Order: sequence, then C-alpha cells, then structure tokens
Amino acid sequence: MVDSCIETASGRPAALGYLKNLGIDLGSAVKLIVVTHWHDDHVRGLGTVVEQCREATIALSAALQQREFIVLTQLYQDPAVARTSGLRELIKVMEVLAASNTSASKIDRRKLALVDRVLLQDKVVLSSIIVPASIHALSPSDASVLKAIASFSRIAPGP
Amino acid sequence: MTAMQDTAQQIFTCFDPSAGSIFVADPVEQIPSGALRPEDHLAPLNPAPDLNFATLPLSFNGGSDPVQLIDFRPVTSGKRWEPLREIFRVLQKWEGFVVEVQSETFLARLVPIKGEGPDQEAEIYIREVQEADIELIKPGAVFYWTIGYHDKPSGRVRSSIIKFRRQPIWTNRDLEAATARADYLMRLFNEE
Repeated sequence: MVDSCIETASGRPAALGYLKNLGIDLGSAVKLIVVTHWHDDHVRGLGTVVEQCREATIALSAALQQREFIVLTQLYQDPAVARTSGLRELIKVMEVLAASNTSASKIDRRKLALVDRVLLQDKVVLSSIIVPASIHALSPSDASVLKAIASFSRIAPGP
Repeated sequence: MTAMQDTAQQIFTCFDPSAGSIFVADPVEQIPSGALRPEDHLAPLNPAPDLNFATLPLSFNGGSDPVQLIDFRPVTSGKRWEPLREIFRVLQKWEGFVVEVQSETFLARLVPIKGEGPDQEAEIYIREVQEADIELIKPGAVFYWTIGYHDKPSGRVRSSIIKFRRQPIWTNRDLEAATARADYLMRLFNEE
C-alpha cells in the first residue's frame, strides 16, 4: 500500500474500505505500507491504516525516524502551533509502531527507506506463473537524511 | 465578393500598444503561433459595431491600383487595457542561516532550495531586510531569500525578497517535556 487518503463519504481511509470490500483480511494480507512523503494529502488516516494492517512493515524516510525528528513532532503537537493534521497522523503512527514493539509479539515494523534499499522481497503470481518481485526505495539519499537531521536540530535546539 | 475585396479583408488596422501608434498588420494567419497579438490584450468596453467589409466603400484608381481599405472605426475608443494578473516567477530560492551579525551586514550560510548551485556563504546588508524582521537577525535565525521576476501590468521588475521565519517560542520546559516524550517513544522501540 502506498500512502493514505480519506474516503469522503465514510471519513475512513479509502484503501481500508476498498480492501475490506474485496474480502481481504487487513491484519495479515497487507505486507508493506510505503509512506512516500509527509504531506497532509498523502497521510490522512495513515495512523488507522498502520493500526489495522498490524503485520505490515512501514517504510518511511530514515530521516523521520530519528530522535531529532521525534523531538520536533512532540514540540509541534501543541494545538497552538500544530497547523496540519499530518503531524497528528505521524504521532499516531509512531505510537502504534511503538506499541507493536512492546506487544507480546514484539514486532518492530519500522523500515528505514534509503536510496536503493530493498523494502520488500516477495513472489507474485502473473498469468499462473509465480515470479519473484521486489520493491526498492529510490530516495532519500544518505546526504539528504543527514541534512534533514541537521535541519531538525536547528529548529528544535536542545534544552 | 470579388477577389480584390477578399484581399482587402485580410488587411486591418489596429493599435500597437507598445509603440502607441497605428499600424497595418499582416493577416492574422501570418502571425507566428504563440505570439501575442495586440488585440489579445484588449477587452471591449462596448461592443464595436460589426462592420461588414463587403459594404464598405472601396476606392479604386482606374481599377488597376491595389485596393485600399479604410477602416472607419476609431482605433482607441471602446477598448482598454485588460489588467494582467500579477505573477512572481521564482528564479532562485535559498534557505539561509545567520552565522554572524555585524553593524551593517550579516553573514549567512545559504542552501539552495530552488535553482542550481552549491551551499555558499554570503554577506548581506541588513538594510535589505524589511524593518519588521530586523530584530530577528540573530545567529541561528532562519530566513528565505527569493530572487525572481515580478510581472505586473506595468512591466517586469526583478525582485529580491528576504523573509525571516517566525517560529513558535518554546521555553526550556517545553523542550524538556518534548525530549522526555521523544525519549520514552525511542525507549519503546529499543526495548529488548
């Protein structure tokens, strides 16, 4: 699954409704959720998606999984300064992922997306033939991640 | 319609706004595609009467000279300049970080956001910054410097705009609380 958006009529994540209508078990069928970037129109409902697709690995930029960025999200979650719903989704995703890690099954579902990294290797059926398939990240580069982390530190100086 | 009248119809007079004069233009079909015709900028205030060229008097000189069409419509009445939309076209944009502040200038590190080029350092006159932002010029402050064209109905102006970011004010207590919550989350991820 790539990104998330909300179905206007139901107010719920569109992809979840679609898969449910097909009779697909969200808990086990979804293997990978790729979060391309953190713009509001790409992450609406993502917290619920991550929560319900409980066996899926979540691939998002390595920069957004650093402590510096987590500090920033905590600073900005104050409603007085949080201007976008995307931030609340991000915080929810982090909390769901942390909860997965502390659950009885102890699954760390995080996948650091970096350029050229293989996010998923699997097999798919094409015309009755089983063929290997893989999903690769095209970005971000190491330099971009390092630059982003430096930028986070500048925005949120340490106490 | 005679062939001569047909030829005459392909000639028209119009107003050249840039030259402020009347000129006789080539037939519309001969204007390169994509080129703006003067009349493209004009919008009628009152619809001009629909002239039937076939009924206009044509002057002949013995029947052998080229046809001379006289368009009796006043060339400036009934039309005015349609104000064009103002557009700012960004050529280059940097995110800047103040490194050092002097009495009249400040030293900044510039990272390109739009446009090509490496990171660089620049010394910028404080007078380039709008008055409301001057108090924000301190080491570590973040600003955005945009260079581009400001296209207005009156013409194109090359612009340089510096805007300082105004971020929320956090206290040490806010920072400590946020760090503590972040560390708690990180610990959850790192639990064995």
